[in-house]
Amino acid sequence: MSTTSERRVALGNAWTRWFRHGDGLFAAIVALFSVLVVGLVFAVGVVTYLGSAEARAQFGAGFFTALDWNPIETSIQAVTFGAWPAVRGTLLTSLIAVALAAPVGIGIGIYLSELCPRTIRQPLSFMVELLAAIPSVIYGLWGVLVLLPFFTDVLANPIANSLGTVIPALAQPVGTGRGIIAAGMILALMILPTISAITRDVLAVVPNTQREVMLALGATRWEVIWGAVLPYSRAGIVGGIMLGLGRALGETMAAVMIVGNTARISDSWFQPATTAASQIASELTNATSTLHESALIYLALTLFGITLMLNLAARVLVAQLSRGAASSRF
Amino acid sequence: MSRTKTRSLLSLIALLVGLSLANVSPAMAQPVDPNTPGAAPVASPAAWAPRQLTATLGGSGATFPNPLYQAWIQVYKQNVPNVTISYQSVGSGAGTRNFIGYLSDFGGTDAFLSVRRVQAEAPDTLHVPMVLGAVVPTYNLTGTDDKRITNLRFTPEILAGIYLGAIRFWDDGRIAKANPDVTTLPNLAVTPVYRSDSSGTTSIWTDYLAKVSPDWKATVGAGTTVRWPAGIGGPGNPGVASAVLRTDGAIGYVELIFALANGLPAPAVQNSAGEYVGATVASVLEAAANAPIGADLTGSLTNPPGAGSYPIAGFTWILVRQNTYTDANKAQALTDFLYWALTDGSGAVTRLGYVPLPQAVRYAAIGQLRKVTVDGQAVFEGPVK
Repeated sequence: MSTTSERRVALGNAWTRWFRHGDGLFAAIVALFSVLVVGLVFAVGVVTYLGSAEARAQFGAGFFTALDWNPIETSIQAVTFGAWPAVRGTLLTSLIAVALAAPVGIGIGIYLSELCPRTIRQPLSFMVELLAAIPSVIYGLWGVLVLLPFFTDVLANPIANSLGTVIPALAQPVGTGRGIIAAGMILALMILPTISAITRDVLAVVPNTQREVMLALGATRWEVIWGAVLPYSRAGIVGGIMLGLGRALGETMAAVMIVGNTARISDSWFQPATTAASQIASELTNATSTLHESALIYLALTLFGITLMLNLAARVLVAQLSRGAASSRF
Repeated sequence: MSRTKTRSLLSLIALLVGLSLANVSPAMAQPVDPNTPGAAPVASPAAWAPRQLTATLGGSGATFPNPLYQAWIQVYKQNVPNVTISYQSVGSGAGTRNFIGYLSDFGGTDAFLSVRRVQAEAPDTLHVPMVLGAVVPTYNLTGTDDKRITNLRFTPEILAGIYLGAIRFWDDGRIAKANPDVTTLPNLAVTPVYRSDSSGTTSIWTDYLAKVSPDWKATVGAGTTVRWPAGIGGPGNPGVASAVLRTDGAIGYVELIFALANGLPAPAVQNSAGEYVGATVASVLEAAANAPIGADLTGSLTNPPGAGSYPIAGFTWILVRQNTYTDANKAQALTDFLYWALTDGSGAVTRLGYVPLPQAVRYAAIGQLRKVTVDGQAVFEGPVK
């Protein structure tokens, strides 16, 4: 039982802690910042939702699967907008990027944290992180000047002439090489530093006891990494891959320069396509009608939705992974 | 020593007198006889100088004339230091919307507003044509003898056929027929390149194709963005030029200056009179002189009559308001600037690769400036020259 005076002293302490020493003020300020961020996400959602009202009224949910994107009315073609070519291009380029970048990025992370001699670890980490700092337009430029000629001559045409005769997605015509696969390769380069830096960081915090236990059991270097280190940090690695995927989904400039910007669906992934981000950036400035503009904002809303869903899926996946046993093999 | 001092003092006085005269005379003319806007100004052309006003003007719009506008703005600032003009090259569509929404003082556009849109959204819009631009179908082609082919000529059927995806190889009979001089056409795929971003250049190009090809008109149409039946998209004039430059067998449409700057050919195109004409200042001027231009100074320049006309060209316009400017100072500064650009500033036009307006159109453009009023009073009375 506390007396009145004791209670007053306790209150006084709380008051002092919160206001005289500024704890309360600090808490309020940082709370405001976090509310601002959440508010921004909502604002983006609301603005894209309201801005797309005209297109939503006209096309509804059929927008996502419609194949035609035709802003100009002619005697035999009505104005119509469909998101599927852009959505398909976005998903395919991003998935190719992740498929290419994830193994390499995780490999880089493992090397940097587990195998790399101490003397070159710092410079190598720095170089990898530098990749993340290069503006995307420079990746695009490099893609046009260096990657595309190499890609068409050394990869695309030989693949199309051999594997392409069996698999329609890899078939001719390759043409200029601009298309889904080339864009996926550039995006892979761009998300590589994200994946490798995060992998390195999560591997670095794996407790040494994990490694020592494996070593004590007589495991090899490879068995330690595969059996103890990677399973322990798989949630973090998946998180890093998802961050990379997020960047790939929204990347605009490099995609505009490489993907070929064609809202058509071709069988071959070597053929030009488009992504949602590049289509919005290309057409919004000179949209031919309010419906066209509204459809582009609807496309933005779609992209926003895809990003949110993938993030959510990543959350669920990470939660599942971190709940499971640390090791699946031993 | 004292002599040089006296001389410099004298010249300074002369300069000041000159400046103050230039400053005062048009402003004084206004209150004296405001009711005779139609009266011809007595001042000789040489005497006109922009009024030394203080104003800040903001405009936005087409990207194609942007280098020229920026050059004009920079030089004008040296003549009239207190008038600050900014022009953002956000694209014709956004520029038009900003102008209609009163978010800017003037708009820039490569695609004129239809009469319907003017009536519905911005009834007091005046179109002031500023310069002409030619669009050329440039290409990159190596012949069967491994030498670059640079002397091709095109018919409307070839251009429409290529962009419709109907002409797929360079040794197509239609291309060979129009080019009897070129015997080394390779059996190489034609890669049409178009602008991935929506643009006035695309508008001119598709307007031309829609006029010369009923097929194109029916299946694709004309506009700043269309659904391309074939080819790949590159961002901006530079994106198209670089895609053409790096792809053997590519053909792309760019503003003339971008073809020349990249060392790409600017081929002759068969016009409506059946003549093959290249894009030059003279041939574009002839096209502008022969094209049907309305009293509101809008109109399409593509495929005009005339044996010497280059068929793929267009105006770029500045949009100004006829009577809804509220700040007379601003309206005066704007009309002064546009008048200066159309007259004294015309030297920069050809130097930067644009084509100046034909005289009759320029006179009419100046006439548009003289229609601008604030509170019923004309804000600009410069001489037509």
